[in-house]
Amino acid sequence: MEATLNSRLVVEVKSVTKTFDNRRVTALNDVSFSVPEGQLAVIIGLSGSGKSTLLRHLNGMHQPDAGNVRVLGTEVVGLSGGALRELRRNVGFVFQSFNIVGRMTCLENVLTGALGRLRGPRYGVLSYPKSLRREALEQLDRVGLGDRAFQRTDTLSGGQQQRVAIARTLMQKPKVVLADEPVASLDPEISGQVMDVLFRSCVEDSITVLCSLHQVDLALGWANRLIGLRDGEVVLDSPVDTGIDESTVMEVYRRLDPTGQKTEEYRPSMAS
Amino acid sequence: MWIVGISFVSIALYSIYDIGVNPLTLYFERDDIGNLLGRMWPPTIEEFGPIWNSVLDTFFMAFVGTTIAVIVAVPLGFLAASNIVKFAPLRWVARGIIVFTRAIPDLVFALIFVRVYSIGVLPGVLAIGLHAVGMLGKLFADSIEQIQRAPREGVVATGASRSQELAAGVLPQIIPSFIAAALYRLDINFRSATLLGLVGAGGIGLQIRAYQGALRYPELLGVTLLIIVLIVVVEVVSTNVRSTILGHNRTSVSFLQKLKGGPSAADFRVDTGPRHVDITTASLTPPWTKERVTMYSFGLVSIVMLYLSFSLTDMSVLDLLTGLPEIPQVLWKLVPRSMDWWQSMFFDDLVETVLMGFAASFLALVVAIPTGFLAARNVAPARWIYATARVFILGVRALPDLVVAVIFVAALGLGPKPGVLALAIGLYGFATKLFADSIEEVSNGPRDGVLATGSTRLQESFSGVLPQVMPSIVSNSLYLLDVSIRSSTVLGIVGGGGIGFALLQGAKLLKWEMLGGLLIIIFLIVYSIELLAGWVRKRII
Repeated sequence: MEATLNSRLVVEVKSVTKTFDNRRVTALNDVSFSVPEGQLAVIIGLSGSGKSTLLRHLNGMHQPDAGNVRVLGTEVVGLSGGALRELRRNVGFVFQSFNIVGRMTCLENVLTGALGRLRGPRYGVLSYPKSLRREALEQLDRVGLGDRAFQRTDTLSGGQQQRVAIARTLMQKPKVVLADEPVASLDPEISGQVMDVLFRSCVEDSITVLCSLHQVDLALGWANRLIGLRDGEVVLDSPVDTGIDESTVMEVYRRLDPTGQKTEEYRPSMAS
Repeated sequence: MWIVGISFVSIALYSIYDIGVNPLTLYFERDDIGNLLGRMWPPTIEEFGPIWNSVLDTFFMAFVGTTIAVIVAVPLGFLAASNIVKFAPLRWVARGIIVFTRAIPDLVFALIFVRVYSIGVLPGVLAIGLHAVGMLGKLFADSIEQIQRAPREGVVATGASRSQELAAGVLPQIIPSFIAAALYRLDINFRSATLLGLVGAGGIGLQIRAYQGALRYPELLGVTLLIIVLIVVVEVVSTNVRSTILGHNRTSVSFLQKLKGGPSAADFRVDTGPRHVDITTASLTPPWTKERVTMYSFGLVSIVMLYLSFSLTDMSVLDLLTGLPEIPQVLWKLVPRSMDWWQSMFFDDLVETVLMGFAASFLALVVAIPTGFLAARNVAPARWIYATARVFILGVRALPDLVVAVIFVAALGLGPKPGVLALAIGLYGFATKLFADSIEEVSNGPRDGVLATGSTRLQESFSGVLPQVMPSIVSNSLYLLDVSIRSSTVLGIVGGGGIGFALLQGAKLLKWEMLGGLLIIIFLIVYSIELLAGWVRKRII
């Protein structure tokens, strides 16, 4: 982090707190960190530690109870309408469940990534200009699915579907990509390939990446920075190249309850 | 729960006693019916030219009516869907229009419109269109509310605007179910279009009315048989087109792989090597897949049909466009300003209508539950019994209940008795299909469990199948009661008893307020039965 102090900060999160269920569940508790341009940061933590909630604050899908979020120099909190859409065009989001439209072909799904550049609604591949169709095919080819352009996405395997979603995100020409557990529903071998496609493309296009991951080994393979979340709090923030040791990382996954019960049940006592 | 069940059954039994029908009525009245059938034999079709023209009229009435209904129901469905419109009062208005148009039978709309637009095809088209808005609007709104949220979220996250999100994230998910619903409605609309002529709204029903009036029974039977054949044809075609559009083969496992015992790991190696294509030469237009061909030809056929609707019949686009905007004005005339229209005999008529509804649905149920088992593929004792039962049901379902009512009234005289019998026969076909379809959906596990104890087939049907289908039998029965009471309101138009006769008089004498007042009462009765049915359904399932 010291090495990049002078770079422009792409993501700045200051004292963000978020609760659900009438303040009975604290999802994020006073979280602060920032990500400089070009960094590949990975957020690790258990299910329910607040990773998804955090990422969803960065493109305005959640609003915090308290704190500030700046992305690409824009204050996200309270942003709405055209200004929010403008921000989202520059912020790619890769979802755990892919969130592509199953009945549409691969090419049309990728083309929806260009909607931000177009005016008015589009329906069907032929409603997009030819130059954009070619661009979409290029992105699809980059993720290795160029030969499947006109296949319906609900006929693809999970890994292929996520690659279509990545191509859609790249089609946006984003400055930063937020990836929320992009491989959580894929098997280990496919996971590696999908992470490879995602990070390689982002490095090629010099896109800043903030990605949440469940698996530590995958995180260590790609990230140049690790942020650990536990029960909505940052418990680890370290560059990867300085010989980070395993016990520090595993500390993120420490359960508060020795009997191994769900940590959610302990959150209210944490909050009080 | 038991109180509700017992009161339903006792009301039904009282109605049957009060009206004087029972499952054996048909047998007791065999002389009258046989006598009539004798006078009807042999069925003849004279003047084939005019009849063919009214068949075309009938079909295109249904087609244009469905088209109008779709055009109105699509925006209405969006406005009524809670995941599209956040502003609740707007949704309530949309839901209100949907509930209202669905509650008033199309025959009643036709009755009113014939007085306003004069006899012909136009009032029929408008009546069909207006009534169908209700069902289509409800189906559309429901299917919009059931779409997956995730793909929409994905499109929103790219920075798409609201209209872009609807076109790219919502539309692709709902189009197949919209088309299926419209086709299903076309099927239903064709059935009702055959009847609208009974009140003068064009189509083949005009012929039925003329033959009935002139006591030309062989021709009446001939036209009835023709209608049955046409209804079966339209249903078969619409069902097939629907399953082509809805159905898609999602599995990529080939027949050969299935022979080898399913796909092996090697078949899924597609993920390993990224395959590249030549971007500069690759085609950028979608290939003509079977799905794309189906969708395009469907669109093309619809446009041709629409063109034929106006060139083959005496409908004119101008009449239609000037007629449509008058509808709100016509409906406004129906709103009662005072209670002057009320006559004490209406109370008896309304009670009779409800009792007829109960009696008809009860009679239909008593016969339909056992035959439902025979018409279910997985329970029927033999393949040929299943096949016979299904064909029989298809035939019975194609009998328009009002035409049966016309025939029974001719045989047994005016009154609720022929009306109930005709309605019961119509409901029976519908009920058997519903029951058989839900029996075919039961899971095999519990059935195997019962068989494994050494039970007989009949015991297995009672212990393995019946408990599984009980909730759907109850909820389908409630739905039937609902349909039955709706239909019993119009039976009086052909002399089958109930409030229908008063409605007919109201329309003939242009007593708009009386007509409107009665419709409001009917609406309240039907709606409260629907609410009650919904409540019972929730308690059971």
